[in-house]
Amino acid sequence: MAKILIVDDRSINRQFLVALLGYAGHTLFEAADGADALEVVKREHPDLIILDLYMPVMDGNEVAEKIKSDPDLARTPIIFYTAAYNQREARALGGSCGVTEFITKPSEPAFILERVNAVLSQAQAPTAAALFNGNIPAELIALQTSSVRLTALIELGMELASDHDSHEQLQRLCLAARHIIGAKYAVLGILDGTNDSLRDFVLSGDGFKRAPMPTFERPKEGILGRILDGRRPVRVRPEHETEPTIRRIISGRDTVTSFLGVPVYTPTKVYGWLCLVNKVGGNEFTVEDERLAITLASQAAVAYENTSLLDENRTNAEELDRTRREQMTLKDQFLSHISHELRTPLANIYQFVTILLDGLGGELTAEQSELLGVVLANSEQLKTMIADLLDATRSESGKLHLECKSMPPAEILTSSVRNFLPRAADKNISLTVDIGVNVPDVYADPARVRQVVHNLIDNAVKFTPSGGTVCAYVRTTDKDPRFVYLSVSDSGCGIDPTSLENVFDRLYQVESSDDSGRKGLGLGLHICRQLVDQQGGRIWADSTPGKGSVFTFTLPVAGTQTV
Amino acid sequence: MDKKKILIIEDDADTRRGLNLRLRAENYETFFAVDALMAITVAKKEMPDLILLDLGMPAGDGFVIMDRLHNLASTSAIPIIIVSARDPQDNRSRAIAAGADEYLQKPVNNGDLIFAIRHALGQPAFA
Repeated sequence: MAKILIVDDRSINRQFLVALLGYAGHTLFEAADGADALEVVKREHPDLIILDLYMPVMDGNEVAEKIKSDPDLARTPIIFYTAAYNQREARALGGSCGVTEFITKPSEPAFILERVNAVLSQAQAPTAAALFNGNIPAELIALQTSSVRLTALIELGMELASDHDSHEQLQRLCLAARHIIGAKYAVLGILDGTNDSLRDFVLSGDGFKRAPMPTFERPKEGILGRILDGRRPVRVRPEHETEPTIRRIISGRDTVTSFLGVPVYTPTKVYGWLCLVNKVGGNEFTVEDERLAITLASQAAVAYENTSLLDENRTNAEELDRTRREQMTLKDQFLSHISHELRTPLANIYQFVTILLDGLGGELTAEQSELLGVVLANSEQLKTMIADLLDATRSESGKLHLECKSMPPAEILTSSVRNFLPRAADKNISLTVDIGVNVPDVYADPARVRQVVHNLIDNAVKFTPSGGTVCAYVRTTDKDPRFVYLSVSDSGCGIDPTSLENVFDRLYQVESSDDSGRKGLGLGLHICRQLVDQQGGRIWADSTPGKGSVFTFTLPVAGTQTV
Repeated sequence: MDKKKILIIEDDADTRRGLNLRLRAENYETFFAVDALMAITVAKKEMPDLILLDLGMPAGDGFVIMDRLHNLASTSAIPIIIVSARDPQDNRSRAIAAGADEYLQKPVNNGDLIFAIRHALGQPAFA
């Protein structure tokens, strides 16, 4: 069949392809690095080369270029063999040296065979040279070169626009610049804003891609200074390379025979310079090379600016987040302190009013007792509000402390109902409790369950007009045996359907049906939801406006809790 | 029968007065201390049957006072009930672990207060 050369520095990759393609009947040759590969190519003239892109010393791209630049070998089809995450870069590089076939690692054997066959049969097709009898119109060649360069530029642009480390981006840029323009070396320097040194420096050229990056002193000197200050490109012909800065631009690795330098800048800022050194083919850089370099430099500037802004944003975002968390802690501490201070006078009000009511300050008239009763009720409300305030704000930072244990729910219902009997009687409301039969224990915090039940009955009594009914009951259901359902129903004014979800929102307030005009803080149901959620249950409301409402919450049966 | 003696360590004057009225009505004898130093002095002198301790005292956190009382041979066996405006969430378990017999949050319901005092004194719950 065909002679195929496999070039990959990892023997396991070579073995795989050799085995696969050998089985398909082809003759296989192997090389582990670029230099070896070139020797084999010259010796054997393979019909196809499968070339790994990333190899140490000489990468696949350089090998491809060398092959393409040898007239004997230039027509050998080449397939780049590369990891999927390098695809875009591979295409950009491939575009610049005329390699248009790619196989990503890993690929299905069938796919590899198919591509190999496609490329081989394409190669049998008459070449452009044969078609034109050796006279390929210059325009066609120029068009092809332009389109290849354009594709490469576009790919590079897309690559730069993605989120990468900025130094890595600059390296890719230099590599691409070398290949697109055709220069042996590319040097890129990004200035440090505050002084005369470089914060970023890339030197790209044959053979030392992976060497540690040298430093570059005095980046604003001589011809580089002209490029920066004038914001204009500079092209120097071979015989004029006497300028000292040009001589040291590639750190002495070679003689400089041609030089093209362009500024890297945006309308807002000059970032540095991009220099191309030693035009491939030995001539000088052309006007078109200059235009390409300017295009690349402006892409670099924008990419660099974007990445810097992105980094800044990220740092700002992190700082903001830290500040926010600090503020939350301060807020919690502040509220804790405030509620602490508020409790002492509140306790004293309560104590002295009860002392009077209990007759310890002398005998009271009936009217005096009643008036003091009002003071007491109000101070109770104040106490609840303070506790709610603290609960609501603390629950946001998730620090509501629960002491859950196995407990019977019935007892809490009955004692809560008992507490409300006097108030219900005052309003001529019938208040009853139904504790069901064989209700299992639940796993919950008794004090918190009491808080929720108290809140629900309080609302029910508040929003039911005189003569109505309120009932607290507990039940289980076969449909959902892991939970116990506790409900408080009332015959009050109800809630309109659109607000059913909102009643559990923070600060949702509604006028109560008695003439007290009180709304409370609007925190109660919100806290109930936090508490129920945290104990592993759910809370919701059902209602018919004008007829009444039922508030239900669930608690996990003891022994089944997942929390 | 001798009246039981309760030492109240509390810096707020009105709170002291209120507790005084309440506890005397319940037939207890009361003593007071307004700061940490006075607390130890009065405790050693009067040897109360029970101590009611407010946590947020000047010149000596309530926990420090409790610690000192426990370290003195003469006072180490006296039961201590902590009455505090601070959040039970943060302080209750710490108090119990440090040797307090009970932790009550202000404002304390009087029924709860008397119940806790009787329990700590080994008296029957209801007179």
